[in-house]
Amino acid sequence: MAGTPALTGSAVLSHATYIQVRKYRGHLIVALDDEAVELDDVTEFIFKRLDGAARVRDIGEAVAAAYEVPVDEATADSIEVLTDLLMGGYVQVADGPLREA
Amino acid sequence: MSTSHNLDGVLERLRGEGLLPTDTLAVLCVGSVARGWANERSDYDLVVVTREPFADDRARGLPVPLQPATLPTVGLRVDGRRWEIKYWLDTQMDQMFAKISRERFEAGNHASRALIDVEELALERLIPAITLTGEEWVEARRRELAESAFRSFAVSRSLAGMDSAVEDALGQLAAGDAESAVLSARRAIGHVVDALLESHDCYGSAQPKWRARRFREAGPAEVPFEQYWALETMRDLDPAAPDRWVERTVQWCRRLCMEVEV
Repeated sequence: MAGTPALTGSAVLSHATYIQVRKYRGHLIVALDDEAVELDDVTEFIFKRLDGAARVRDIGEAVAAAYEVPVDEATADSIEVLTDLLMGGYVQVADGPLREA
Repeated sequence: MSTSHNLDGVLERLRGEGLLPTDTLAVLCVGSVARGWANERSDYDLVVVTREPFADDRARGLPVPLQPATLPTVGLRVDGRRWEIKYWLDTQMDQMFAKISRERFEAGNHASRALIDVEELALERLIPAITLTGEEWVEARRRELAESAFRSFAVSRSLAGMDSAVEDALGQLAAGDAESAVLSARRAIGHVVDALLESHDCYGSAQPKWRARRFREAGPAEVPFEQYWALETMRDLDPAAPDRWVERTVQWCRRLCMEVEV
């Protein structure tokens, strides 16, 4: 889709500056202004690893190890999850390649 | 070091002073004495719960958002020590518990404060209180507290404080005001640690002077005491690069926030 940011495995992301995060009944809820999203287990796993230093590929490797899936598949899934979070404004690109699709 | 206190004569003294109504349901010693944190100069904080409103010329009324809207409080000096006695009505307790029901929390009322400080203090102090009389009343209220959304309201309030402090810190940093950002980030530490301790049913955020004591008492697995204490005392703050400390601290607060169950 035109205008959709496409992340690469080399991108580095961090949590967006003005989000609010709550752990409620064992799940993370991330809010920005009046919008909120409840993270599923995999998304939460990925979200917690955003530190402004880890590359998306590193996170994909962590997902692969934790969920016993191939690294390429885990990295692709991580990119998909992070793209959604990026579009929602819940995360931001700290460093690395980001291109317009 | 804690100082042990002999509470044996408290009820007799209250009765002798005309400060123990006949319809008393419970008398509790609360605060630092009850928690074992008192020193020789600490006040005795006492709570008397009655069925009917307490009236006495020595009482001053604290405003509370309840019916009746006054909390009678008597100050007394006994053997060189100050006693402060608050007289709560059982029906005022009912009203406070109604404010912190699970239904109210689930309805989204956690965004605003459910209780003012004096109310929150009254409820949180039920847990570590020493009961001088009225064991049955106290145990019933403790069970009610455990079943309520008190913890969720307290954690939400502290985390909202953290969000506000973090927003301040980042805004001040962006504006080049690193000194103010340091103070805001320090405030964020206090709020998120309070939230963590409250999630472990260890309350008292209105009195930050006891935070280290509360941390030791709760012993949260999420953060070792040494790590908390290094942040609380700003040990890693480099005066030449305060912005780095602010960024690290904000990140730490946010990470801890993710581990605190509301």
